[in-house]
Amino acid sequence: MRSSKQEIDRLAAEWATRVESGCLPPEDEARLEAWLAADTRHLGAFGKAIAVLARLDRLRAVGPEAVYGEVRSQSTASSRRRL
Amino acid sequence: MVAKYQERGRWLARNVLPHEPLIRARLRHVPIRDLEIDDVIQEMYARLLATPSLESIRYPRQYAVQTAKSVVIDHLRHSRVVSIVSSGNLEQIDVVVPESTTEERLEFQEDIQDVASALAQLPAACREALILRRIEGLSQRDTAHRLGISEKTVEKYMARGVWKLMDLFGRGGKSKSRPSKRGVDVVRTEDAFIEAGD
Repeated sequence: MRSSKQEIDRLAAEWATRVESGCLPPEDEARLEAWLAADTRHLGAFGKAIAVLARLDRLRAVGPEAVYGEVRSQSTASSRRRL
Repeated sequence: MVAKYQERGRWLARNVLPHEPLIRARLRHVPIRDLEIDDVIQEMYARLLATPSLESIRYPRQYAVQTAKSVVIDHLRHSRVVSIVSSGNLEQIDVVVPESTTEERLEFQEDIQDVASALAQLPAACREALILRRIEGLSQRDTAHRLGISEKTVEKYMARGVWKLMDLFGRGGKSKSRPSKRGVDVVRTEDAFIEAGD
């Protein structure tokens, strides 16, 4: 049975988070490689998941304060739009 | 292994992810039976991740667009269904995506806004964990301490946040409704040439 895109994305997000957190024991590395090789959709979802984390890293240059400020103004703007 | 993926993640974050909504928009111009845009996008990421010399590609953004297009073409080749899609229609996938050398600062500013807008839509716990870990650069342990939760829970919140961001970044958030500063992104190739000729 084909697993759904949602489910694949969820698993890819978990793997990417673990890889990027640097806490992946060698036996899990092998499991990840096997999972990636099993289905090209796994590889695609994993690629996107690591890109999501890397996109967040890019914001380190502006710092958390600027990001919090931007997030706050975004939430205010969207709640205003809802009214 | 980890270092290889991190490098490719950065490449994709810089050259592909911010433009995914645009590539999706182009793909919607080419309705093809039995082929969903989600599948094309996923296959595009898979092919890019598997490309041996990804980092040395000269025009990465155009390369990503062409990769998506080749997924569609391969599907048509393998499909037994006689397609009504002509190669003329396929050209509609082509889009002008400025490479990163153009207006880098403005582009980065827009990227910050796009990311912040997506972060604002996450559950607070996921957002906090991601900002502390990835943007403030705290360790897993310090993040756990700051939030008063276990390291395992930090990882869980982060993974859930990444999962939701995969969806939100694909949809492109508010950048579609914003008066387009990167107007060249959304016009057809031929219009862009007319603009450039003036």
